[in-house]
Amino acid sequence: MEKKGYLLATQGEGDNAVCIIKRYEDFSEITVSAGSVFPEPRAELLQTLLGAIGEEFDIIELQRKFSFLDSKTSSRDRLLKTLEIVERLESEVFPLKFGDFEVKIDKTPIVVR
Amino acid sequence: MVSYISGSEVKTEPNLLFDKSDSSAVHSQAYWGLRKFGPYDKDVLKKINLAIITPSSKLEDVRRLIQDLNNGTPIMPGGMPRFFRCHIDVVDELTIESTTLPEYQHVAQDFVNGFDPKEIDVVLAYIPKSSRYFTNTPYYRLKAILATHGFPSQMITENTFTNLKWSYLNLASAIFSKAGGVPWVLESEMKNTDILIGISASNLVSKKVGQSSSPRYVGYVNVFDSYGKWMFFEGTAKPYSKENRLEQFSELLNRALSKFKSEKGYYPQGIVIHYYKKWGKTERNYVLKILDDLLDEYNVCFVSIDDSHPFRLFDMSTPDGSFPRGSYVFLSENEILLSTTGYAEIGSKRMGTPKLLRIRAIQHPEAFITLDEIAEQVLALTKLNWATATPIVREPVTLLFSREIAYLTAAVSEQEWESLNKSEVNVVLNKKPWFI
Repeated sequence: MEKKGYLLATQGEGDNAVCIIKRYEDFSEITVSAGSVFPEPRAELLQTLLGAIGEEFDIIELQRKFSFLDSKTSSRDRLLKTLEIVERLESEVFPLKFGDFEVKIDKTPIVVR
Repeated sequence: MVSYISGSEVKTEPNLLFDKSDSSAVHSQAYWGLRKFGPYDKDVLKKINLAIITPSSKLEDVRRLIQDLNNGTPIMPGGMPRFFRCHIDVVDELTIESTTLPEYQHVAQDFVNGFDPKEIDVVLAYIPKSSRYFTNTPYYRLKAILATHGFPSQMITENTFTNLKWSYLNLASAIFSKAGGVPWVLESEMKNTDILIGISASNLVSKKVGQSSSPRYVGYVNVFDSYGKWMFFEGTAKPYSKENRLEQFSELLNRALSKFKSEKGYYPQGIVIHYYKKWGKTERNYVLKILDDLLDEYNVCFVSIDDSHPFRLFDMSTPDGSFPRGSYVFLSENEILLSTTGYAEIGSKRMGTPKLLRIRAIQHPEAFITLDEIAEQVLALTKLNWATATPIVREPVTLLFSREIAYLTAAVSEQEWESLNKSEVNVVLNKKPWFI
């Protein structure tokens, strides 16, 4: 079961590596296998971690690209991409059926007036 | 089938005032206002006493920076004397030979032992760039050591020098305000609002130097007047355990309201409290009890502002498709989504799709400001961060200042927090936004 916490330290290497985690739930400290820990840091921290293990990859740039941040029309691009994804979901995934319960997706955005 | 939602907009970009004795000294942008009129406070500071902490290899760069600030640059013609009606006087220069954390801590300790906060207005420190998500860095440790002894500080890094052209004004404004000056306020008073409080509770304090085994928290408020002028900062005197969180609201608000009265001569009646989380009923009841005890008559508006929601708004009629700055939609009768970074005539900086502010308001005993007025207040408050002259800022200063302090609390120990709130330090620091 997934538990959330704060990564205090990592010790050892390879299969023997362990992480010391402070759990958000009760602030207890637990030691678990590093292979079972999935870090969820901000992109800046991931960048620092990649640097620490000698990987040259610009994760900030990747994030900017997928967020359309380098585009002069970022909002427009994002809306069009969103509509494209909704269109695909509508034709390939929806409606979702749970017994006699059905969930549809509306392709039309809500209009502000 | 098309669904509709109603929306509105703040009609005009809020104006800023740049002279407390001349109501015509107004402009919508901090840069042009300062350039044309100088700061709101013109007679408070004639000279800013500055101390420098820097690696010796960067000393010449820092000296040149100060010289430019005093003499002016193409973007900031006339320098500090024109933009802020004062100049910077370097009182001392402390140099170090490496940029390691122990060396910075050592020089900071030497500095606080050798100087009186009355002699130094601001410490300017050149530090290596580090992520703000790491706390054990020269940035946080220097800031904490200096602040706990009553010294506001301004950090600069190599990044400051790579984009120096535009850094000058932001640096100058931050130094001026940390020295106790007021660069600008809102031109118009916020309607029916005497006091605006940005409150923050339950910020985990570092245990690195602490002694207790259980997590300890601190809370604080930043208080603004009806013109959005930052008045002071108040923190809880001591770190506390989670279960005592609500009692801290009592301590903080009592101190904030009493201090407001001692400065203004009256207790506020129109009270707006900004919180970056959703107000719980228990929290609201605690606040009401304090207000009932302290005030004969009052109206209070509990405002929650957050951006942790899945909503996005677009406008295909703007050049970039963004939902314009100052526009908002009503999610319910007491809830709106406000765009603060969308398309605007005052700024062309690309900031991506606006991350909207979800604003929820609950009023007591009856509504005294409308949601439209709250939207206008929040938009106006995005223009009051004295650490930047950038025309478009996303968050209101109430939340922004809270976040700045929250980063710092994660880096200070329990003892350091208590030192910050000791009367001899508090009396020097609480009228200066040392944390920006």
